[in-house]
Amino acid sequence: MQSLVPVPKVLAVSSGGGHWAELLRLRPAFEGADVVYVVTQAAYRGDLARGGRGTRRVKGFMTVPDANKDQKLLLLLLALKMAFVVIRVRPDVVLSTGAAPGYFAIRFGKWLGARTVWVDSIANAEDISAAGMLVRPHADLWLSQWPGLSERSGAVYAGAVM
Amino acid sequence: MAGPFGTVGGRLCGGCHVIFLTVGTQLPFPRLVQAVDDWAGRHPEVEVVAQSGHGPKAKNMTCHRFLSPEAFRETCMRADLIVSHAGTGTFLMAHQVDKPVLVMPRRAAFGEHRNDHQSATAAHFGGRRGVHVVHDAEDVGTAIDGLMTGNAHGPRFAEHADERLIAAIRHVVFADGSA
Repeated sequence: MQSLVPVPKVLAVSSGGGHWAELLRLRPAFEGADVVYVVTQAAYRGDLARGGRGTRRVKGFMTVPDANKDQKLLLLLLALKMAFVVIRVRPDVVLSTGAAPGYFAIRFGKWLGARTVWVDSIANAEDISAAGMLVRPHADLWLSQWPGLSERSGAVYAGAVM
Repeated sequence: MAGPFGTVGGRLCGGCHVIFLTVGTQLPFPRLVQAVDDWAGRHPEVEVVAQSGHGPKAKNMTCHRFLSPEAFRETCMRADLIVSHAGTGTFLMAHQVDKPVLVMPRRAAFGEHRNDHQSATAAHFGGRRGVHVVHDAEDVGTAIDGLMTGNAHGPRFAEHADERLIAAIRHVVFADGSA
């Protein structure tokens, strides 16, 4: 019945390294949607050509500066660029595997009425990440990949990226 | 022991000559870098390439502060063994290039990370084929010796995330339930 409903536009956001690798493994979740990827390095664009399910409808690829919570100026630049990205893309859905870029994307996306998903990285087995805690009130679906941590934190557990 | 066709760990090491050490780019990990550098010093016949982040320079390896994603992938493909902190990206890369990985988790007690989450990550992946875990720097050299056989496989994961996780996300992406 998908042809009768509009195709949702997804903004899929992460910082580099493991966060990006985890995001790529979630691509089947976007199959049938239009996806714009946002990451911290242009060199990751090539990764989008690899892989099977969910790889076809790539509508865009954009980069933002990376920053962590101790880098105030970079955080400001990241926030500004992400605001620009979100306003321009106007996503129906914002999803992120972390970290700071995903926080801003979900905050701004929520303001514009998007549905939001946070997938806390599988690297966080003991505590939810700092960005994950901050974004919690703004995520419609707030997932951890560890059953025990989900129970302690109140996150939803639905398996892991690997 | 050493020499161009020397033996490593008692095995003839004809074609296996490259180790890639990565400790990510965000935090230094001198305990692991030092252990691998010591091993490299005893094995000049093996090329050891490192992405060592902001740590101290090593003497016996080619150190890069940061490798581009392409260079990172190429180095992984060229390596016979990947040695790493217990970062999730490394496990996935080892799977993609089908290379065994030896990990040592960062410890908060040594100031190597904010907490001990890498120990949990290492325990989670530790039982798999192609994943080897050590916890003490003293064990790194012996573990490398045992793994430099040159034809070991990497960890195997499903091609994508768990179907349950994908379904939960699709439920939000396609809010009408058409998924």
